[in-house]
Amino acid sequence: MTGVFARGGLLAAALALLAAPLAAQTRTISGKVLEEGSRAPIAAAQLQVTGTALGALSRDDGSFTLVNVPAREVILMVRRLGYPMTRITVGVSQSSLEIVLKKDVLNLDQVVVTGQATGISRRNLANDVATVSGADVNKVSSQSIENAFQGKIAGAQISQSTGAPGGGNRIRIRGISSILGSAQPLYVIDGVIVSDVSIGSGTNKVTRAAGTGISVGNQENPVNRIADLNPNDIENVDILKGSAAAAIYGSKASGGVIIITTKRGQAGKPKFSLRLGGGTSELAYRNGSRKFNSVADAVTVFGASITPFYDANRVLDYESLAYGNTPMNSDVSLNVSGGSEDTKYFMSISRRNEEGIVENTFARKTSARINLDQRISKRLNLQVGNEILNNANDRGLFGNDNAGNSIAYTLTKIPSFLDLRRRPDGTWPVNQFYPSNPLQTIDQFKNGENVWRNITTSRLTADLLASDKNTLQFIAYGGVDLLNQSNLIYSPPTLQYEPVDGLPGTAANSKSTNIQRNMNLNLVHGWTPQSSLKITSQLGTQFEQRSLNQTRASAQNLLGGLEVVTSGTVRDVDESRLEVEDFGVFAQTEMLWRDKLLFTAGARADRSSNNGDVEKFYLFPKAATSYRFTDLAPGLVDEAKVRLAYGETGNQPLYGQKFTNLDLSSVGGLGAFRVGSVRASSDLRPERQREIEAGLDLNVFRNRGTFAVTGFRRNISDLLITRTLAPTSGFNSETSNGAEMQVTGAEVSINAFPIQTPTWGWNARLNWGTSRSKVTNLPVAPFLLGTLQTGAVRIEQGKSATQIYGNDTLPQAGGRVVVPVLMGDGNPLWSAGLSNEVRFKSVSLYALLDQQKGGMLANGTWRHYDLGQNSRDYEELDALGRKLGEVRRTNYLQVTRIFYQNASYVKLREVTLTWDIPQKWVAKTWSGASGAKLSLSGRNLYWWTKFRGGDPEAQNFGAGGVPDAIQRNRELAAYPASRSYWLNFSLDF
Amino acid sequence: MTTFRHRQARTLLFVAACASIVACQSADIANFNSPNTSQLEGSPNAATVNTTVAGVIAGSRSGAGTWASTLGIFGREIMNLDGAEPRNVLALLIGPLEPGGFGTDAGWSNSYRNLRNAYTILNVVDAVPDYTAAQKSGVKGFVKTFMALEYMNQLRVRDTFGLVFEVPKDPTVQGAFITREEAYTKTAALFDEARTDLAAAGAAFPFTLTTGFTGFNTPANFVRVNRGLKARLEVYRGRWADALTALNESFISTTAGTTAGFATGVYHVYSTASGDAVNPLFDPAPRAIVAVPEFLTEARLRADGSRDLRATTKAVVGTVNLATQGISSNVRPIVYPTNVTSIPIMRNEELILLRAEANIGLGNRAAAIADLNFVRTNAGGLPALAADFSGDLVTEMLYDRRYSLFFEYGHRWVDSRRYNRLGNLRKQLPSHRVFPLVPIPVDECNQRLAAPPKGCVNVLGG
Repeated sequence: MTGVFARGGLLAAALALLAAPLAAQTRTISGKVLEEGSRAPIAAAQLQVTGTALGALSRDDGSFTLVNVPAREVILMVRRLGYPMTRITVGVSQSSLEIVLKKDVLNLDQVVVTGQATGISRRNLANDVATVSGADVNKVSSQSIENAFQGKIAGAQISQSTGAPGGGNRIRIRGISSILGSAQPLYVIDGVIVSDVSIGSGTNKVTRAAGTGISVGNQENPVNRIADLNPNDIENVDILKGSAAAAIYGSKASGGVIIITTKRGQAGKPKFSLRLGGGTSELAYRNGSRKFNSVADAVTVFGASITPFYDANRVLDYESLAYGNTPMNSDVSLNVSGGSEDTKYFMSISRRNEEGIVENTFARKTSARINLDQRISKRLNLQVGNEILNNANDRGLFGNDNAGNSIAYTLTKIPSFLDLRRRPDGTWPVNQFYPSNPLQTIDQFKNGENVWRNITTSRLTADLLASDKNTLQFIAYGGVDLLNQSNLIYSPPTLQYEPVDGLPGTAANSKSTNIQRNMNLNLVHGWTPQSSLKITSQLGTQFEQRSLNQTRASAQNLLGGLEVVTSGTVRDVDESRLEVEDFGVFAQTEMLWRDKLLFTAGARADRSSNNGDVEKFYLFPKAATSYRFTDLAPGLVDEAKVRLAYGETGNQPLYGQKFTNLDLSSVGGLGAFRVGSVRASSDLRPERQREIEAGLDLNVFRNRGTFAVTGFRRNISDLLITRTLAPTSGFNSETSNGAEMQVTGAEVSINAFPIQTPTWGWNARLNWGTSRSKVTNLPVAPFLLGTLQTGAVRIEQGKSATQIYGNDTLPQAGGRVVVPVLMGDGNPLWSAGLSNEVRFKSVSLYALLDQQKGGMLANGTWRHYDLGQNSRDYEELDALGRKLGEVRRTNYLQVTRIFYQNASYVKLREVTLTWDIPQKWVAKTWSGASGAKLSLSGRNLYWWTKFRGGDPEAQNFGAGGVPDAIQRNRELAAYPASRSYWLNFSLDF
Repeated sequence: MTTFRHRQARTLLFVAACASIVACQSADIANFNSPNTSQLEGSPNAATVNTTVAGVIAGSRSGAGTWASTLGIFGREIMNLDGAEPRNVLALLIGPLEPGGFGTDAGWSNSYRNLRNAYTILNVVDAVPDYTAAQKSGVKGFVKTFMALEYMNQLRVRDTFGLVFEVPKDPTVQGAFITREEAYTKTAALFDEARTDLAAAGAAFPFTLTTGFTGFNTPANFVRVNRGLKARLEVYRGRWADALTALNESFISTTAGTTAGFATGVYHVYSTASGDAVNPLFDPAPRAIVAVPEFLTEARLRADGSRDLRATTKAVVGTVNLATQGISSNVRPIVYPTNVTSIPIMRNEELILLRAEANIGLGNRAAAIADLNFVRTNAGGLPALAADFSGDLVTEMLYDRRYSLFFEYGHRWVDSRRYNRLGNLRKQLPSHRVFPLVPIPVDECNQRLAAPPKGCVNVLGG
């Protein structure tokens, strides 16, 4: 079907190419492009004579020359990033002109992606699409780009699953979108889908957090691999939040789409930009621990054998001992851009070295990118990009554990008088009261991870037809994202906990390869039947293939203490594979009338090997409209836009969900089959989201501010649910489509530039978002995800999909009774970000506050301090004269909310003080330099919260089978959060 | 120039056509990580079914750790003092036991998963082309014996809460809860059906069995295991005469009062081979599992003043004193000295004690005393009971069962309940409770909200 069309279209285009217009009388136009106010020359502005293929780029001094211009009145289109697109009519006799561009502080003319290969200027956009510029991303050095998004996008919740170097985050855009499927957004770099896979490390073999397998990813706080990207290469990021905007990405877009555009070269002599950063970080929150006032107290908790270890005068701060490393961090990057009009390049190299607050932990990221733009012929343009990355880290041994060795977990059990510090002779004291000595674990445990990754993107544009009224372009994108991750876990036999199972020493060696390939072919037709009407249509196909292979080997009882798994006597291997192939066809048309009324309609049909019926195409339509009012109340409301959009997206079933496994095992040397515990439904299909979004955008006070408000409602049907089956059926659960859910929400963003003078500048941004979910149809009985004793999500018709139930104890005639009660909701009521940047001459101060209101989280770390009878306020008395910790410890299984708390917080997320070193000083020092900056910045400097036990953001994993898509509702022994400080110097030359 | 443009157009055309053709073929990607049940449910061959029979043994083995540990904690044989999982104390010793609470599953899901596996075999076995009629019978007899064992395992845990017997082929259709008595009747009938099948199973099974079945790996020998298990069930429901009948056809033997003689039986085996399991009760340090402190001190004295051999060979005072939540113990069980030590499914020592119990029930004191003496003198090194012993034989028998079968199957808890002696189990702290039975797990309750089974309640204990 598409093949046939493409063939027809291309033939027509080929014919058009042949009929090249004959040259009539021509003339030459020359001139200069300048910035309004400063009258600084603007280089690399794109000039094009409309209706022709004639064009030029302005030079470094802003000058340009256009030759062979028809000798009639022509319209000149001027485009330059950061400035509004301008059309200038050039009279028949005019041969030189000065073009003055006004800086687009509100980004109204920025082109936002609306189709696979098309976009529209923000001025007309019918959806709420958030954009974060490269400069905003790089305000303060961050572990991963998502950290740099925190507080900057209305309606996005970004939480960090661990404070460990190297990152590990979760983004949820516009609330929950799935119960069981993936809830992560789709990442697209330069038109090519890239992977955000999380691959476990293999520490489960040591911690046994969930069974005895080598790796259980969700318990190991893995890095989600978008963290590999180098933020310095980013030009800007568009976030398509809802289905209405993301429909063109079809069945992979239900979690939103994050479109990253990397920097590209600009013609001219090479321009270098160097950034040097250095910094450090420190522990952000302390739990404290109990001070045992007498040996009798200690004996009550640890038994009589503690007596010789007790010393009333010794009070050790184990959090300082374990988390007191003062790291030396660095972040260095160098990029260069330049080229000729036909060949432009952008190259960058960078290295970020971050050490952790725990000794021997680190993340080292090195990357090199080259982006090349080549004009092959007048009508053929090729852009390629290639980035090679190496990301190595060691994140220590943290998180949940059932073997007594996770560092943060063990700290909760160590009384402050017990001395476990290394002895002068280099040996480590044995912790007689718990299986491990965390200080020894920090010293000796290795959790090495090394990722090599190569991302190649390419874009080929062919102008098949360019007449006054019609343009036809063929745009092809293709790319490969190749990722190799290796993990080596080495737990030497000398570690205290190692001989506990009789098999001293554990090694686990894993190799994983993720390959993602895609190709995307588009025909884009532009039709301008009259000057006030422009219709852009596109038709395309997208083909994607992804595979993930993981092989793991582990060994215990390491002879000679070697790291190699063959030195172990007890070995285990594990391999898992995943392969998915998707194909989609899409078409859309966009109609713009008088630059005021926009109407878009489109559809995408998708097929995937993950669906039960692999042949079937699922259709995802969309439609949107917007209208601009330009002369409402000049000076007060300069411009208003109303917009309405509807769109559908899908969420694919995961690989393997459509099969009922015959599990493999071995019993005494015999191979064994067991019917799997999860029953599949053979007709699995994508979840479907139907979203309607309406909004109002205002430009006010002579374009000194924008105000946007958006409301949305999303109905999700065919929700994949792992419905719990009665265990007496022999299955735990069955995966099927069935439930329906509704998510309603609103977002507001305000962007203001109240003061913009050469001396003073102030800009402020506020974003706010809220969303609520409701299960509207549940074909099965209400069910719990998780257990009541530690808090469970209850899926129930008519109720929020994130409501959390727990136990409570109620008085009853003749005693007390334990009953399940609603404790609250896991989803925050709202989240907001507020940033302010104040500039005085060349010094500016920027600060970002990030707030979350509401949301419940189980504080596991605090609970474990209590269970170890070791919490800082354990002995304080309540109103009834009972010990606080004792009451909590002995009642929490019956009163779950004791350790379930409101996770509201306000964080001072980013602060930067920048000094733009005056040009004359810079030039005096080195004539080649064109600009320099010095800045001092900090991330996560302070937070205000009532949540006790650590970072209210640190949601490590969903407790007791709560899927990630719903909530990670538990904080437990994660690598602690830290504050970081940076000093940066940047130089352009 | 013209040719060049032609070529460009043709290249583009070619690229587009290629992409479309590649993509027009839908990809039916297989399950790379596991075979699918369709392989078993379609038209299975003997090899597939034989492998699935091994799966039934593997499934039964998956429950073994639970019986000895969870029921062992309830019956005050052992304690789990894992500092990382305090619910082993807070939930299992203090409680209340709640349907959604820690430890309440107590093998429920695993038992029914194994039953599902077994029923799937029964559904297809008659259609397997490369089995003889006798081999089909052998498969049925073996599988049914293990099914009956699963029902009996759950009856031990849920007692009067009853259980679900039917496992319908369509998993969305729920089997009905039946009472304990009905379940006893049906389970006994299933053991008998299995015996009939085994009688028609010829000289050999078509499948291979693990080394845990050495001596019992032919239909003729395995039927004696079936009878032994049936005897356990009959004793549980107090049908003493039926128990004796079954015991007579079992592998009971009093020819050798040796360790090997008592150990004769069938076992779950473990290995460190990849994909296999290791003994879940092996905890050498110990990190979590300790015997209750009184296990050694309550053991009876031998003539030389030392303790019952069954105590001293099964637990020792260790160097590590585990303490958590206010209780502690330094008594380390050594029943499973390695991580590949087998766990018994049933062994001769239990059969002899079952016979003693049946005889006590029937009033045959002499026969009972003879069997008790055989065990306690040979295995425990204790003085024999006098032939005219006039004390409470139940107390004597329960003592022997406690020490003979320590940390094997959670026997002490079940036995204490059967004789209304849960009150005799020692609580480490006044806040501790002894639970008579375990609620039905919440996942089951949630699926039956319209007619909640009576076991969907908290058990407060006493």
